[in-house]
Amino acid sequence: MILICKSHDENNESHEDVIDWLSYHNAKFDFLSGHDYYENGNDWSIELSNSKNESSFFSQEYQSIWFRGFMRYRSHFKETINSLDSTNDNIAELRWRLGQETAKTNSQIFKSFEDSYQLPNPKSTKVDKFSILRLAEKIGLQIPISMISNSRKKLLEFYKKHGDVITKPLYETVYFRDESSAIFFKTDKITEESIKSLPEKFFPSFFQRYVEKDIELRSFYLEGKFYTMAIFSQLDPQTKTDFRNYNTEKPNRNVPYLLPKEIETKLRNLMKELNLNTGSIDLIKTPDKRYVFLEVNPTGQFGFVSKPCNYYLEDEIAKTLIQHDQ
Amino acid sequence: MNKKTFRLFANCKLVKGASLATICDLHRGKVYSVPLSLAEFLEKTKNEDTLEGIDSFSSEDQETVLEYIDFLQENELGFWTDESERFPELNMQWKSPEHINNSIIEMDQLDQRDLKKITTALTSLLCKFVELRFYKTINLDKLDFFAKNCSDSVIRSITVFIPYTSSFNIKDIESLSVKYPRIVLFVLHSVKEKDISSKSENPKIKFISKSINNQSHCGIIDPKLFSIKIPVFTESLKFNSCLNKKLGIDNEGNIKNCPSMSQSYGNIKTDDIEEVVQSKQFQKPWGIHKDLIDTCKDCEYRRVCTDCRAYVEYPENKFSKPLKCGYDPHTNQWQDWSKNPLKQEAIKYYSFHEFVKS
Repeated sequence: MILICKSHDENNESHEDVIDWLSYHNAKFDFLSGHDYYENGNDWSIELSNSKNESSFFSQEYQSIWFRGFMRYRSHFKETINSLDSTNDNIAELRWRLGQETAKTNSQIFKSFEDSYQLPNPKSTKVDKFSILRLAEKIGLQIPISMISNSRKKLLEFYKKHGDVITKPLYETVYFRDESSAIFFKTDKITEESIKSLPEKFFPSFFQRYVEKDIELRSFYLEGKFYTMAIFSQLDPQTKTDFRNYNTEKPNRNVPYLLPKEIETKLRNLMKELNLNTGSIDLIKTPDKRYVFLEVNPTGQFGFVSKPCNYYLEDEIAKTLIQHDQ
Repeated sequence: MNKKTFRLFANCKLVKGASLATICDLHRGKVYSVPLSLAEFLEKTKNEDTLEGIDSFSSEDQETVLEYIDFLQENELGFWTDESERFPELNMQWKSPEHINNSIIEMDQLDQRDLKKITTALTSLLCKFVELRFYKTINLDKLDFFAKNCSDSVIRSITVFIPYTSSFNIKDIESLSVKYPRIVLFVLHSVKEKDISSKSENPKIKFISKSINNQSHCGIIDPKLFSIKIPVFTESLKFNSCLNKKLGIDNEGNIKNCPSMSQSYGNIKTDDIEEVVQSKQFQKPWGIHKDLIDTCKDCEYRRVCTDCRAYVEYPENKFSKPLKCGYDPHTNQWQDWSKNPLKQEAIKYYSFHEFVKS
């Protein structure tokens, strides 16, 4: 039996496509999300003693796990927190502490399928961009000059020395909103004006030298194989910094691409070091033909690579899960 | 200095016809007509030095080729590269995770027992798209019953054709559209001018004056119906552009490739739908792809066009060109198919006279 692990409210077409292929190949599968543990009110326990080590949640054996996520902290305990009569500071701290506790509980939950095949291992998905860059650099991949800093002075020096700078979250690219506002942790270009408008000390943030692009590359990695796509974002000023500023009239050209063998070998080593058997890898090919590694997203999207390149990644993923479900 | 190659983007595919070629932009959904000689040149030089290739033309032709390449570059159909080996062609595989992808069901004379059999079969055949046709009668209970029985299926959308009558209460349709989100479109046909007042604000309900009162409206070939997409293109290489993975059930319960076709492979009242659908016989027409069909095989639009095996120019020949196509790939002219003198025999055969006039 296959277990599809995803956050309860996460629904996207790529997931549906993989599920269609699983059904077509007559695979048996179940779903699991944090919702089942935290919100659904099902009884469960994880027991440990000198004579006992068991988890009561599953009545099934799952040989093959597809890990796409588990929960979004924000949606949990909402009513309890809203009903608290406390200061904003206290509530913020409470949320944070609960998040910490939840993460620890989750890692105990994931223990119960530690011996199964996992695509990928949930433990390996919790890695930050800076650590990955350190590792990539050690392995011999080219990386953009990177810095974490809290200082306007340091940032200005960095800018003067290296030219254009971007900032992005160290951890996940996230987007959340309520009725009045939306917050988006994403990649942005930093200008000299925006640096000057910053306070002298700010929240420690992640900066990188902007890398000139000939083309952007997205490579979906699955069990040693690379499915790479070139994005011609430079043809369009609207998508020059970040191709996600989609131009719907004239979408960027996306075509299949073959990475040089030595780059693939290094990336394979990197994935091995990160204990990741799958992930979406971002690279840039510069006008002077250097391949610059940017990041790995262990549970990144793949539909946008699969469809324009006719890779049928959805079926490849389904077949990989089935192969290990024996 | 490396050689410079002009390459079409991998999802801009060349298709050569008898006297013209097309570039099918499968990413942005557009078709461009280009001269055959240009298509041949681009194919020949796709891994070569393009400018060197141009040298082989006369100086007058060189200019034309360069103009074309500028046009292709400006329209972002191609790009210059000195690493053409890094840009592989699009692979041409096609597959889909359904045993039946789409189904057309004529509802007028089917009863609940029939519908139960159909929904059970569609569920296990992993069917995604369903079209339900009421030609003359309207029975919303049947529709409700059908939709209710699809709850365990992977059906993504149900489109319903219903004849408009004066006794009609639009509220009933509106409530069905809310109750069953899978029903994505209601087409109310045969609407008379005087009825126009009773329109609905619901975007899922459309009114048309045309009467869809039998199957013969089907099979039209028109550039408006081109579908310029990777899966359509790749499917057309090996499979029929209309019938592949299609199931038709007609008014009498006959199991067909399409309700408009005469051949029946069984009847839902006596036969098992899944068994029939999985038989070699039933699936045989699925393999009639465009390269086997007269005229279509010479046509530069064959990878993005629809097909029709129900109404063809020479009804006794299963590889005959679709009757309702007015395009001639040898002269590159579009004509009104129904006025073509060569087609009058076939029109009589299918007794389309009334339909053509209306």
